[in-house]
Amino acid sequence: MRSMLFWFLNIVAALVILVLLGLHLAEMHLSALWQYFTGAGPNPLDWEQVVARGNSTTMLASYILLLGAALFHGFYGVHNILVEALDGAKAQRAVGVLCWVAGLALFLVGTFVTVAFNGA
Amino acid sequence: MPAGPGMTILEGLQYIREHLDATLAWRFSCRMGICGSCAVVINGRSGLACNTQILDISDSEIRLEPLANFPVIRDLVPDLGSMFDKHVRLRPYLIRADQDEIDASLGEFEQSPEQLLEFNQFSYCIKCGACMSACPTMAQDAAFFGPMPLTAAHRYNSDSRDQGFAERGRALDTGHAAAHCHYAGECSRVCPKGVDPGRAIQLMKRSLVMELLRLRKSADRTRLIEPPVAQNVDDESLRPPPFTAKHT
Amino acid sequence: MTADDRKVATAKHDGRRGFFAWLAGGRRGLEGYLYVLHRVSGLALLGFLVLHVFVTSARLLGEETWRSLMAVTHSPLMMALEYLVYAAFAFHAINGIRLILIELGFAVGRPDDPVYPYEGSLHKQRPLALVAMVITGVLLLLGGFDLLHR
Repeated sequence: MRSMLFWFLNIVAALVILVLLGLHLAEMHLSALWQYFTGAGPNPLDWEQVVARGNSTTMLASYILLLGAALFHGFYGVHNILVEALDGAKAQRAVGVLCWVAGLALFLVGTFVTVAFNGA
Repeated sequence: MPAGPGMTILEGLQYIREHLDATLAWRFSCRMGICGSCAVVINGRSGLACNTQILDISDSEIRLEPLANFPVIRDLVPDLGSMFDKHVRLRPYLIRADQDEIDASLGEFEQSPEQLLEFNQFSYCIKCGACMSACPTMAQDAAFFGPMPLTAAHRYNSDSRDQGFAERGRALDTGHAAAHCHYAGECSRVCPKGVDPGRAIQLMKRSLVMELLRLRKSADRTRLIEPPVAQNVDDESLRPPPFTAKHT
Repeated sequence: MTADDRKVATAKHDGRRGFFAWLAGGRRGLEGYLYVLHRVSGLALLGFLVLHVFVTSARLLGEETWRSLMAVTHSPLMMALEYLVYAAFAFHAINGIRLILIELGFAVGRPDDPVYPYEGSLHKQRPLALVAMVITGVLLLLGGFDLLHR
């Protein structure tokens, strides 16, 4: 059943996001707290840090995976909300198409930027 | 209107009809919480009028509304047709390959107490519609099956005598079924019979995903057992033991 | 499914509470409000993600652009909004774990014989909901401390 397949994939995406976004936010939002206890360190938003992450294949791969999972999960949710709120097969099909198009477009933009960035 | 201890909302409605407004319309029948006719919204919460006592409501004013998410025929009377249509669509009956056995049964289907427990809770549903009124997805989505039909579908899917999982799966495949329940829990909160439709729907999701991953245990978990044969009552072993209680 | 099935399943009915019915529609229990918050935080996170993809793509334009962008996004207002995004993630993630456990049938309890006053799945998952809220609170505090030490 197609709807249950997407529902299950949404859960898989959620678990991927839990790990990757958890790490990402810990790096960005808990770094100051961490450094408070372990001693001063670089600010993750400094240009040098951004370049360093841009040169790491692991970071690039995990960013692309995170982006894909987050867009799938987010647009699945928005699709749910809109399909529940709107009547009519036409409107609901349009919502489905829009979500796919927007999600894929954002994924392409994000992946392109991630891959194209080389610290220049 | 005067309200005494033990007086229910249903009795209040009858008082209104007798003394205040004879044109008021509402549904009721058994007045004891088993027919499911008198479901209404009482101060924003769906429930049965016959088993809600007036003095149990802590608000100073009582506001009655017809069940939400259904068209209103008149006053407190909703049109529950859509709910029953969806119920029928999900095949709320045992489906078996051996139709002959169902039509003219020769024996009994074996079912253990454990197997009975898997679905018994969900069979207590009185189809009152309170859960449908409380559900936030029902409040927006006309095509959503709703807690009652989905619970009925799960009741039959988890009955060991049923072989209709695939057929009900096809009927559910509208894109507005179990995946649109997000466990707000309102259905279980308002159910007057403890059916816990929230539990049923989550268990249904689990069985649907297990089916998707080819991990679901197959149906056919019952067998036909012979009906008991009449025994010769002169058989020693069947006589009751002698009566031993003494009169004082 | 037959055409009849489809027609009945998508039949209109009146009496629905409207487009934003999920946001507010009668008195709810704890789980009902967690449902609303989960949707609101999810929408906020998706909106942020869309912005974030474009904002962080500025790194393609070089160091100077990046530094001036960082100056803009580090004003007090922006930092407060960033904290709200972090808070939305903390709630959405922890409540999401709770929902995964519930919706896969792990936290709703086994079917039983209902005896008044009917302690069902709501009762079974309530400790999980409370633990989830406590963990969310701890994460919010940690994020708050981090914000103060930037």
